[in-house]
Amino acid sequence: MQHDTSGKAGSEPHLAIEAIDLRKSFGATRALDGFSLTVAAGEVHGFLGPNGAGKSTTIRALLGQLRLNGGECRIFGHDCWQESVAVHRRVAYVPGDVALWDGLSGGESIDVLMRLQGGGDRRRRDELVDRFELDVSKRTRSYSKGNRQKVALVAAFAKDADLYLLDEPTSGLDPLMEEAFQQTVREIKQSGKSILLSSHILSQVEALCDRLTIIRRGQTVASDTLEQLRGRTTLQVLATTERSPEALLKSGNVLHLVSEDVGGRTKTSFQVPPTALNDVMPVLVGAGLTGLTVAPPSLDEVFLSNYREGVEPEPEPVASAR
Amino acid sequence: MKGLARTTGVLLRTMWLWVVVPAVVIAGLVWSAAASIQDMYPDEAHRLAYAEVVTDSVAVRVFQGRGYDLTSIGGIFAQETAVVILFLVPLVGVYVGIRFTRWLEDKNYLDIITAGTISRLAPTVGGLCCGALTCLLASVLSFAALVASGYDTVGSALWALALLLFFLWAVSLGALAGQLFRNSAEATFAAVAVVIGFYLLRSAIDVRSWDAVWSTPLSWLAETKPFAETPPAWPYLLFGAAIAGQALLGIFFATKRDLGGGMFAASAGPREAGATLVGPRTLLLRLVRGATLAVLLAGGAVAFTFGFFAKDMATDGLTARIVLLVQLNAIVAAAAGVLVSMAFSREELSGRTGRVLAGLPTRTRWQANGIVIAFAAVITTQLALACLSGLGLSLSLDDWSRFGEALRSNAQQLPAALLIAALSLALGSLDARLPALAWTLVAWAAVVALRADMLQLSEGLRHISPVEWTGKVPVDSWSATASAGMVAVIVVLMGLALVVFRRRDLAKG
Repeated sequence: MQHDTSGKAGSEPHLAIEAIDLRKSFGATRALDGFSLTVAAGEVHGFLGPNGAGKSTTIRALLGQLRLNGGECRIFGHDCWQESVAVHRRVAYVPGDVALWDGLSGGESIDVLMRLQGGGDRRRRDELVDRFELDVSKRTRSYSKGNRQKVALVAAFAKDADLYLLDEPTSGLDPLMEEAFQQTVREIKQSGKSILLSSHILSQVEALCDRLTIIRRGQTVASDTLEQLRGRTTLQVLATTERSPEALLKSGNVLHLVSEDVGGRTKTSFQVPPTALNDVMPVLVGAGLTGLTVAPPSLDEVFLSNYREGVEPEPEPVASAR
Repeated sequence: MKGLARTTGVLLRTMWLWVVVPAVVIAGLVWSAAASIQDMYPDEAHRLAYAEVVTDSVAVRVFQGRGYDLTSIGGIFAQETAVVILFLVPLVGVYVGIRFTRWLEDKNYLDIITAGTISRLAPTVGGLCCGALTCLLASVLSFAALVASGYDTVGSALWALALLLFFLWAVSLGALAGQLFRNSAEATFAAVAVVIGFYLLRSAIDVRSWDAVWSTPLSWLAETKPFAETPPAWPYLLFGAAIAGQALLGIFFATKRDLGGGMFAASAGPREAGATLVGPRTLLLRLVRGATLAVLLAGGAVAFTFGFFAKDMATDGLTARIVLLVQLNAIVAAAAGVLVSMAFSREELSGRTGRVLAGLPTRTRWQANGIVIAFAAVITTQLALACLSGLGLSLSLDDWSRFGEALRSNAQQLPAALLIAALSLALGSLDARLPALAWTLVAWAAVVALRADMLQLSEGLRHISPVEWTGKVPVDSWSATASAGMVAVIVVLMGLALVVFRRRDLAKG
């Protein structure tokens, strides 16, 4: 049942999105298997995961398009299924695969979408059309994927929403438009609005998001700030010592250990969790440390370590030597 | 041509139904007509009487064209089937032609296929080959049906050849339109307009007995004279030339246009939406207005012409023709409702309904608007066809009481048309892929209305068609009970549709 209750609640909930233990199956396929997500009001939240992990299913559940098999799903305190219209009053949405009406022009499509979501700011609409360099007089059937995406972005950002649900919003956009997108998101962030940004573009997530959640196989793998996630991922260490640091072989925290003799010295590379760095330093110093480089994990490494099947966020120690 | 076999194979694997179904439907109609005509005109006397009636009838010339060899059973068969063949085969043909040569491209599947090691022309030529296969299958099955029904073998072979060529002409016209225009919808609209133009030209030539049968392919069909002692060669040759010309032009344009485009540039649209395009209802109206208007125009033209010539066609009584006219109006109105229902479901399958429902409209409001617009399309169509057929009847009989009678009879059939549309909407509320199933009921209603006597259908089979439930108005008295029952079923179906749609997952969003 849907209740068209008033949009803004009297006492503003602290959380923009509160999804707990979401479960959704399509036949034998479990799309969401106990997934949880919280997005604070005023936060830009990255939503990451491999293809088919359950990102779009989550967003469709948040919009009340899918009936969950279990779990609780609320936006600003409103139940996403029972009170979908109250939710939609405060939400703007950009789908990943934008389907538009062939017979309408781009301008007509933007206006129709704006009117369906309760209106919008016309001056803002025109400003966004200019910013995204969209020819609104063209029929949408002649639009490229990028231009269709721009229509959805302009229609969503022209709405003064409290929460923006963006499902891979920049797929198909060129780098200049990507910059325009990031500028718009920053403006929205400055005005205190919340954004859930599902994306595969890691640099975009790094540039825009306060926190992020990683989903895999319908389950939460990690949910934290990027810095915290980096802290949980292994550091890359390259050390030059006078002798071979044999004791490292015995350390349970060292991963991918490779040593080789170069000009009478031993060059050793390995990975180690940040918390274990203190343990390995005495071993390196004891072996006559003459050079040391410690690199934080790249963004790609952070995500890949969480994306890979069977790889848990916390590393399993494996050591090898040559 | 590199990749032709592979492309043709892909088309046949993915669209084999488009080869089989049109061929089987056409051959089925041929078989039913062939068998019944044998029974209806068993001897010389019956055939002579038929020839006399047909030769003098203006209505027959309008709908069936000129007849030849009408004292032979083959000639009568060719003349009697012309009413269906002249209309059905070109329409099915252009649709098959466009479907095979353009559909993959419209769905964006072709980009990935043509990115492989295949010739640029392979999809177009492969589509033409598949279309030709459909024609060949229809022709072979029809030939078998004729021979099995005891018709002259040589005449049957020539009639089947004429059918093959006529069908191929329509398929190649569709293929040509598919290369000229930017998408299937535009191509279908243009090709159907050409077919209707040729149909009207043929009607005028036949009614006025102009010596211009060479000017339209719809006249060439009768001119093939398959059951004559010495059939002329020129119609067969003209068909061959037209088919080759259209196919080659289609292939030529395929080399000149962009993938996903046509030969004509798209016109610019408005930069802003008009003030009327404000909510789900106006949006839905905008989406279905083209298809509804096309049904209204085509159905209206047929209804007026049918009404106007009903007196001339009344070999089995004027009232029987009026009953048929009212039933056909209801079937066309039901078809308009099913078209709207399918357009509504297409919105969901494309993901646009999900986008709409991410805004403020509730599911109930969206679905209710779909129901209202589908029913409005049915009522408007039935009312317009009632007025036009009543006008034709009144003008022809110089009796304006016929106008009121037509309005009343059509209104009495309205619940049947609404019921078929309601069924389609209810199926769509269960699953967005299901509304097309309602076409089987529309088709069955048409078979019962047009062929029930010829096919000697039992009462039970006839009453599967809701159009039969009301009674044969205006001849029989209207059954208020049946109409009230249908309205009750419609109300229940729509109530269930609203509840089910509100509670289920959207197909895409």
